[in-house]
Amino acid sequence: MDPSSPFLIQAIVEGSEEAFDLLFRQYYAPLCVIGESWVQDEDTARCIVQECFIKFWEKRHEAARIGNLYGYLAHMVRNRCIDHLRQQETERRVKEALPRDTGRGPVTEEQVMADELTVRIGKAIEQLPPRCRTAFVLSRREGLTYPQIAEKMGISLKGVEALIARALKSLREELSDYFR
Amino acid sequence: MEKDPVSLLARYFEGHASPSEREAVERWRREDAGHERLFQQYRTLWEVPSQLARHEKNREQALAAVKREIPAFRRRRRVYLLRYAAAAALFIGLILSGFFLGRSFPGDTSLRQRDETVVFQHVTANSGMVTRLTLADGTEVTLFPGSELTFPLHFNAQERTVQLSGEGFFRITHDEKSPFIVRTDKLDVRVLGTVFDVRTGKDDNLFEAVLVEGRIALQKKEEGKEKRIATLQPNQHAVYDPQKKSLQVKEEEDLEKYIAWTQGRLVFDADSLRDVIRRLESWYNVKIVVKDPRLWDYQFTGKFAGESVEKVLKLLQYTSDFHFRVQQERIDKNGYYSKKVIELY
Repeated sequence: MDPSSPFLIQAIVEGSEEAFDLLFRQYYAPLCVIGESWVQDEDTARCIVQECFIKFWEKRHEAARIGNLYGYLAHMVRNRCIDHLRQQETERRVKEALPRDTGRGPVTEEQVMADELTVRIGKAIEQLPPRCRTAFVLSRREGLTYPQIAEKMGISLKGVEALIARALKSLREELSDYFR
Repeated sequence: MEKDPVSLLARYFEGHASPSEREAVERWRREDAGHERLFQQYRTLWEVPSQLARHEKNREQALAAVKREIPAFRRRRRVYLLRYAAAAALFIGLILSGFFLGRSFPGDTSLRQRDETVVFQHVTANSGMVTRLTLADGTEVTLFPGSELTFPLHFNAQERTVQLSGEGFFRITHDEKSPFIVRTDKLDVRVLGTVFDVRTGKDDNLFEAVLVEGRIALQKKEEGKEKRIATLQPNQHAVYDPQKKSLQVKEEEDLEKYIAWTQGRLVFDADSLRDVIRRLESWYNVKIVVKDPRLWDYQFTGKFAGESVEKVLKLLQYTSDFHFRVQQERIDKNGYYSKKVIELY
């Protein structure tokens, strides 16, 4: 699903619950990853992303005008994370506060690319060669150790290492546009 | 660094690298800014998929939590609950009444028939849903959202009478000996085995009836007597104005616009804004406010099934030039949501 698809945007503006479910299922995890990269805490990131989806629903007409729903959500998540960090800093009364110009200024291309990357990774994994994908998914998604993967796939430990290294290399090639 | 740095990096990330391998990676990172950038890129590719998987496990729970906080989605859920609540209330009402009768006349059926107690049942169709009932004689009634019907649990032998406020679609079980009468605060409808729709507003001067099959008579109570003012044939539509005491009857080829609501569809066909608002307000449980008085002269046309009220208004904009804005529901001090208010301008 393309987050700037006019059909999806139209359905969201009209208040379609199905469209909201679709959007949420597609982007919740990538947005949590973005949040986590800022606040370094899983639960805080999830809370912020959930708040953003609620806020997004109220402001969906504005989001529709901007045209990229995911971009809009990612921007919201980032700003909320920065607000959260600032608030924490204030609470702790730490002198070395965050630089005031972080995030709130115009969105940098680098940030947009980083936001996009979290969504693209999932797709790129799907496109890996089958055995590469299996080893990588067992490791990175299922959390299996190399010996467990070796046993499951009936290959040597070295074999697992090679498959994972190949997967990482293809992913980097595939996603090279997002790495600057 | 060995000749395949990625393999080593993966081992490093996984935590299986030996101390000397770890040292090699650290050294390699320091050697060159390009190496450090590559290290960070691979670390991202290493970590993000497992972070994604971790958050995906919690996704459905999070979705449910978010939807509880969005009134539009929460209200839909509450409507379902209300529907079950209404069915439960009717069921309980029937059980209690039966119990009451049984206790009053234990085992003595002859006495029960002679000294018949009439127990009335009152049903209000909640906003946002069509309610269907089957009465004691098998008559089926469909109530438009927000309408009310009062009917006896058992009909007596001479006459079957119900009281309607709002709009109901009736499919009457034929009984020659016992006429069926639908009373409203304006006119009464006397029926002889038939299918028809009666529409009467609570607070305005509306009375409409449309006949699908059979024959009905419209009657008015004057000085305690029922006076017949018209008899309708199938496909006739009657509009009564209680102030002018005038009745208009016209032939309708297609009755869909009058009875589509019983199938969950709303049909407007060059209808006035007043009619459209009355139906949308009950159907969607919203309050519609007209800010521009010129709109009262507009006519609205459209067919809708299962759309949100926003979508319906949006589609009506294709045939009529108006704007609308939705004020979101507010929570009052008791934690209840107010009705959604929609302004037309």
